[in-house]
Amino acid sequence: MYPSLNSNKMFFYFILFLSTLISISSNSWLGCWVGLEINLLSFIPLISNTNNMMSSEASLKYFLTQSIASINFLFFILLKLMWMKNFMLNNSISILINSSLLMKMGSTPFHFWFPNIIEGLSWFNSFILMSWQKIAPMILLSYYFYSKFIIIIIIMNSIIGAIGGLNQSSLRKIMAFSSINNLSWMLASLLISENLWIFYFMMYSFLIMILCLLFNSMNLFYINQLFFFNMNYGIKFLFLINFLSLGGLPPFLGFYSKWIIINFLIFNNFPMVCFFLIMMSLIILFFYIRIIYSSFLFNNLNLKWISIKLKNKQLFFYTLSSLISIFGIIFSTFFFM
Amino acid sequence: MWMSSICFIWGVFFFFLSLFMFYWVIYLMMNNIVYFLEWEVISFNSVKIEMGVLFDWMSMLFMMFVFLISSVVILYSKSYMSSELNLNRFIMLVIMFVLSMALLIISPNMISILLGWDGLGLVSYCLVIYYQNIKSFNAGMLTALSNRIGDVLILMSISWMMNYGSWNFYFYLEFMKNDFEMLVIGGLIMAAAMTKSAQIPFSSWLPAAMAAPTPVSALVHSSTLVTAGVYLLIRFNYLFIDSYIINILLLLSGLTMFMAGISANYEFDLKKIIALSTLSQLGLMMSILSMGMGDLAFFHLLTHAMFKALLFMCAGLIIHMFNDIQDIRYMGGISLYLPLTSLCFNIANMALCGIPFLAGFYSKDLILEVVMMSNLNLFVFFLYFISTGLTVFYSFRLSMYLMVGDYNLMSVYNLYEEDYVMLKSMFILLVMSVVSGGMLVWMIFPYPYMIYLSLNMKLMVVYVSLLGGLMGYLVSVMKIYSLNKFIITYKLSSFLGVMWFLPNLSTYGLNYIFLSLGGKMFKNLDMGWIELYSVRGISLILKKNSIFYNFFHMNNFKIYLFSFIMWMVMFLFMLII
Amino acid sequence: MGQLMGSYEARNVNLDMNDNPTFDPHVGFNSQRKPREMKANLEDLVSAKIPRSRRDYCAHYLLDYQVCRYKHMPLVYKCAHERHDYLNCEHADYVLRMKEFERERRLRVREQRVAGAA
Repeated sequence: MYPSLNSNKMFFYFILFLSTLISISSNSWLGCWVGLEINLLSFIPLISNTNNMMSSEASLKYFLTQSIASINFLFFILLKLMWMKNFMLNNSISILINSSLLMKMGSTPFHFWFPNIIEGLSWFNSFILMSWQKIAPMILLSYYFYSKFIIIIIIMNSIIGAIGGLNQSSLRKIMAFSSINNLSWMLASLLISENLWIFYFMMYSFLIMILCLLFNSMNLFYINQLFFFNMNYGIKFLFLINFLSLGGLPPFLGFYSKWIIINFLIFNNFPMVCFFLIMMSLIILFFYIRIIYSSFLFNNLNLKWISIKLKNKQLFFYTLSSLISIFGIIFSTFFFM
Repeated sequence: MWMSSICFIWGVFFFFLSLFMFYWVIYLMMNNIVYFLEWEVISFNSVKIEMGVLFDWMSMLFMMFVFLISSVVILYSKSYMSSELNLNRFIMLVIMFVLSMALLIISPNMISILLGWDGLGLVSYCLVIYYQNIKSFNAGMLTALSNRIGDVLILMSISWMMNYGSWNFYFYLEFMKNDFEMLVIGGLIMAAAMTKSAQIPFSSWLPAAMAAPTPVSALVHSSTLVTAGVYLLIRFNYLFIDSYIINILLLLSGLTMFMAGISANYEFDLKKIIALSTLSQLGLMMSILSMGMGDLAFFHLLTHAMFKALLFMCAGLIIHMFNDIQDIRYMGGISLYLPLTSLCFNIANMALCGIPFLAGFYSKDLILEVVMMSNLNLFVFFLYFISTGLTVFYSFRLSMYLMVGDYNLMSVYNLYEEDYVMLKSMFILLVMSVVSGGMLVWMIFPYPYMIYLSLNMKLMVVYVSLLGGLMGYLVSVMKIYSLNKFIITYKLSSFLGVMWFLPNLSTYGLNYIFLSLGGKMFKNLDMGWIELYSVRGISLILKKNSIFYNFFHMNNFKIYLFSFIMWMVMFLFMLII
Repeated sequence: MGQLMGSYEARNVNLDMNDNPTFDPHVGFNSQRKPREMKANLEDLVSAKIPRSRRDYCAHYLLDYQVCRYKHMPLVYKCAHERHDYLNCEHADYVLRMKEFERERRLRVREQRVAGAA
């Protein structure tokens, strides 16, 4: 269901929100670090659920990796302050700072925790992990960016996201690997400008939101749960649209964001990056289509005690969002041009 | 009640349309006006796509003849195809054919010519396979694919014409003669017209298309479809006048004339003889066109349409009377029992031979005189005159088999001729076939040809015709002892009798090699290497790599943390070193 | 075709059907010869859109024929007289060109004979 209006959790959501804002809008590196720490501290209670051993293990692992990343971040900031006194942009230090932020985000080569943890989270929490938690590290990354290093990371991200996701059957892991792949697109947009990143991030988080909330309300965690006998074709159609949009198929909304990035990458002379991104995006699209195709064709699961239905209010919301997903390109030309 | 039949309505409609066209012919010729209506569809960068309609006296005259023949044929098919269940379908196909032909006639630009041309090819395929048996299927395939070659050539010429900005060739012909592109376009158009009008490499489809119903043959294979190629070349005539490429057409069409004339003498199928005679006359039209005299080719096109359609319709009636047998060895005695039919048949045959003052005389005789006045070599001269003689040869042979002698099919018989619907249609064409020659020769030649020949050269036509007639008489008197004389000319006859093996060129020659090559490519590439390298290969590689990669995720958590440190150290080392 | 057979002998003196006369027009003639002149105006011919190949020395008869044709169209048989005039003129022109050709051939043969005797 929707996140409950539990007052405890609301407190932590509020602090989560605030922490990212602190991290973004501070004008010293220390403030950034403070924000990241508060982010970590406020997210842990959100995901730890003592009823379920998977989620408490996930929260422990999350705490470990993120705290190591924050410590590294603090250490390298102080190192930089000591050596260069905030003046120059040196390559070795910027690599270290960038890689600690990459560890925060869950990007290659520090991504091994990400699919692992996401397996233990509920859908709403995983949505927050995939979308909101990426804002602060991305913006911090853009402050101290080393393009040559990040290009390697982009290519590695896209490859890992594509190839790792091929052999999965758990929907959460698939979304995690697709999130790693989309992380590569977001880093590519950071190569060009921050405005572009905001654009891509908004599109991406919109699509992720629909999918995660849809999975949440249908309570689906594995691919074979899509093969229900009495699942309405309309609901499967919603999945179709949103998955194809996420994969970047024209004329859906997800294509628009990828298209703009390809356009600007080529303008700014990054054709190799562009090539890898497009090729791996094809493989990701393949296993999205595999999910949808099999969900439309296989109808072998016959549940006796549960009926899969969506309430009208939810259905209206999802349908409206899917409509935006279909015609989003046309709508966007009014807003962004 | 018969007035509401589809044949009557459309037949009368086309007839009045043809009279209307006749009025326009006179009007346009009197005032020397050409109407050119143009509608611009899109004008993009340097190319203008427009739909144009050209009304000048030549297109109106041709349309008049086409509509007249089609109205007569539709009225004729009311009785000929009366036992047909789906007569509506048949008439609809004929109407679509006529409309495609009309589109081709009035179009001054290549795109609408392509529409009419493709329409002609497609609808003539549907008409040839109308009787759905194996023979019609094979004939239809041969027709459609031979016509398709011409379509492809016209498409290529369309793409070459994009050099000029629009496809209205009507404007470019006299000005752009020295361009290389125009030379290529001319070559392509010439080859396309050769496929449609069944000249030498592509002439096997015309006798095979006789598997179509006889009204279809009368309309399509005598006057409209096969003359579309000639008409296109007449429109392009100014392009070819001083060029070198037209000599190829002269040679090939002369050979077509000759070959068709010879092969018609070996045939015993009534409709095939008439088809080969059409082929011979088409060769005549093309060859006089290639000598620069396009107006003569047009004249012969029109008069030939008249008497050839009449010949086909007579043949249709005769076939009906002979219980659907088309073999002339079974026929005889038509002049006694079917007098009106034999009247039409004889007049049409004599017009074909060029007997004075019938329709064919004016066009054929003028063509031959102009040929004698012009600068030719001996070979082409012989082709023209020997083909004229061969025309008389097979016409006389046909008349001998059909008219003279006795009925050879059954011993107790009753031939009757009460089919007045068919006869009325034939009479209209009969009148036209007598009158149209003289009528046209005054109207359509604004610049008369001066002919000045010595006596023997002028009489050469007569000599050749008489010789042909004599040969026709001698060949058709077949007695039982003449059979063992055939062995003497066996090898020559087996070459000449099958149209110089041209059908084998179009069927066996093209079939085996290309189909087998296609089959090999399919097995080797589509189901072979391409499967390995692109479809299954890539998916197997990805699958294996993904399985391999997932081993990294099945580890202890501290291994991950350790790997993070290792990566960072590696990055640092990469920088320092 | 007839021209080819008739001009076969002319190849011995390298004379082709399409060649122009090379000798002086008055050689062998006692009286003066007039050069031929076009009786039709060029602008008349252009405005009547006569094709270039027909603009020869008989074009004035052709113009009369065209005038008569368009006056009587479609009863063109009434113009038989003008047509006959034009064809007669063309015939005379053809005969004249034939005679010029033969004269040229004989003069060349004579030249060869003179050169051979000398």
